[in-house]
Amino acid sequence: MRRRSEIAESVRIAVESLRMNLLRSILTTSGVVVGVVLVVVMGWTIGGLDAIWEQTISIIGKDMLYIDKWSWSGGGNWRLMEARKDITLRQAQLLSERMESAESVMPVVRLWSGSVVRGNTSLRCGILGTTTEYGQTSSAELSSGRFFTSTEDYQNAKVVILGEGVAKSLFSGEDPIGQTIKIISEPYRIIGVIKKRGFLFMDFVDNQVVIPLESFRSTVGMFERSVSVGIKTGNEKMVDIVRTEAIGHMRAIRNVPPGQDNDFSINEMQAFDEQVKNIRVGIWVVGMGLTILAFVVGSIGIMNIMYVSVTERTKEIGVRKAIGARRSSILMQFLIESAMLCVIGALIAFPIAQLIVGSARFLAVDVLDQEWATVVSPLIPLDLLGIAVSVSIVVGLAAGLLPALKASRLDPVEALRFEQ
Amino acid sequence: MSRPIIEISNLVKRYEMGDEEVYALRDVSLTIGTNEYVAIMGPSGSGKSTLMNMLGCLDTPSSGTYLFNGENVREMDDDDLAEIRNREIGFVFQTFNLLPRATALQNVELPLVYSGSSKEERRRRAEDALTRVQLADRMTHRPNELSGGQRQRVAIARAIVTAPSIILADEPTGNLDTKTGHDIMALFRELWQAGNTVILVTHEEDIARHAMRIIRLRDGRIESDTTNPDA
Ligand SMILES: Nc1ncnc2c1ncn2[C@@H]1O[C@H](COP(=O)(O)OP(=O)(O)OP(=O)(O)O)[C@@H](O)[C@H]1O
Ligand SMILES: [Mg+2]
Repeated sequence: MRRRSEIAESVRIAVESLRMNLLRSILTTSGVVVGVVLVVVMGWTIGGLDAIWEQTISIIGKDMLYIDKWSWSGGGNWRLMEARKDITLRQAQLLSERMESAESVMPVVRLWSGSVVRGNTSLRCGILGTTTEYGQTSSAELSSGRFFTSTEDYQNAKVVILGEGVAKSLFSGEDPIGQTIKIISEPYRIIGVIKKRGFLFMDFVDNQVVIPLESFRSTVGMFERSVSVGIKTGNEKMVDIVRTEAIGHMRAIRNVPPGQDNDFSINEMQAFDEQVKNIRVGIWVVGMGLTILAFVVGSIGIMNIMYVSVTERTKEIGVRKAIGARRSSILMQFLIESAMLCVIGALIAFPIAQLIVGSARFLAVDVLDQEWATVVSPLIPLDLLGIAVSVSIVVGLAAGLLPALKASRLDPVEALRFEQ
Repeated sequence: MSRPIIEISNLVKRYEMGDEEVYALRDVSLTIGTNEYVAIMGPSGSGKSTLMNMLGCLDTPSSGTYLFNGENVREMDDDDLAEIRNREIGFVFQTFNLLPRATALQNVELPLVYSGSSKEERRRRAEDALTRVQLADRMTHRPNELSGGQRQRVAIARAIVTAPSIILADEPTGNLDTKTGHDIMALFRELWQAGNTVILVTHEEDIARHAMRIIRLRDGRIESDTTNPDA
């Protein structure tokens, strides 16, 4: 009960004291403001990076491995890869037969640019031939219709699934399902449309059409085309096991002698995870460093102003002690005041951080027209607000501790005698 | 004599000023009972305020013993002293020492904040105290909106709000004109008549004449301790 009335009194005093010195209080908190803004903007940046990365990964899927002649990352020796033998459809089928740990294996063949025509409109886009298993991967999540069946593939059915970009260009809003388009002069019936996935530099994934492998063979032809073998592990945890197994089979299938390097590349999104993690850590370290610096500078300022406040109120402290305030009462009074200073700093920081975050997103999305930025949240993360307030309270308590101790230990007689 | 509330023996207060030692009090012994009305007089620097601070548990002696209600003050820690000041002692200062930004009511409530009374009880008791000093119509005024005499009344209300055992006043009329001073003295007399123990310091014989007992200090010693024949 006593504590409660003392806390209420302390808060009242703190509010009053902050109001009396409003400008001084606000200036004092600038270090905390900068610190909180940094924390919040940093958290937002990392969150945004994660969102962009998640989006990017979902284009291919975390549970997918691709065995290709070429490495995606562009790493390794270009000439060496150029010299590799193509991966043949036969090799892909052998691998599919031998793989045990994977959920499914699918050959994927691709024509980077082929003509697709609907009535008078025509465009060039990627044409992708694969088997029905591709329909189970995250690359083929449909917004409408269905994927083709193995029977359709087997029977060389002329059915096609459109990428979102192609659907938009050719049908602009109309329902394409059931309609017919010509792919390299052969009519295909549209049975499905893939969700929009394209993103950042990966826009091309929306500008392709998917047809059954057998249809690809007859319409486009397999002449001199290296096959990409997609392997769906079915489970992120299985990736390592599946990769090892696939490499083993693939070396055997392609007769790679022991001791020699693979003559193919294993491509996967996870390989990029490490890089993203590094960027994340980089932002975190730099951001944290700046934040700590701001908080240290800020707390020195607050400590100073609290010392000033204690001196200004020496007489008042004397009066309070004379009428029965204990050391802890006085200590609490000043700690609450300095914690409140910091909370005010945090409160000032939020709108500033929101303004920065909002402007950055507005600039990217609306001015620079970067569509990828739309996945980044326009709002500062709410959980960070909680953390920032807690941190600033702790900083306030720490910064106020020495001045508050000084106040609490003042001798009442001397304090009463104090004249400004 | 009534039950003793203050028992002081061989009290010494010594200040070290560099190499020099200043004695504010040398060997003071004194007993004051409940419901006494005591005036402490003496020339400037004779140790009156020092003695009052000791009595009020604001200051601790260099040597000697002080029994407050039979308890040895020297054995108490800081929180015990704060508690005694809060519950047992009402202090009135020459310069009022009100909190400038708080209203009369808030000033009077303050001791109850530290004793942990509920909001309603605080309000009720503070209003009672202010009514007793005839300031029922000035409760929401701040000190700078009150006259000197009114400010001292607020201070007295603050001193009596916890119903303390003793009321200590160090030159309570020192900053007031003669007329207002006498009004304040009338108030102390009322408190005393209502059963309070009142100890006050004054320079003025006129003021001291209100008290039952007059103790005169000189150079930190008790020069005389007499019953007031006029009272
Ligand atoms: N903190 C201190 N340090 C050194 N000397 C002190 C201190 N406080 C009081 N003294 C000395 O103790 C003596 C008594 O002081 P005190 O304030 O008790 O006098 P007083 O009787 O109240 O005087 P006045 O009537 O002027 O108020 C004085 O000589 C003073 O200089
Ligand atoms: Mg004095």
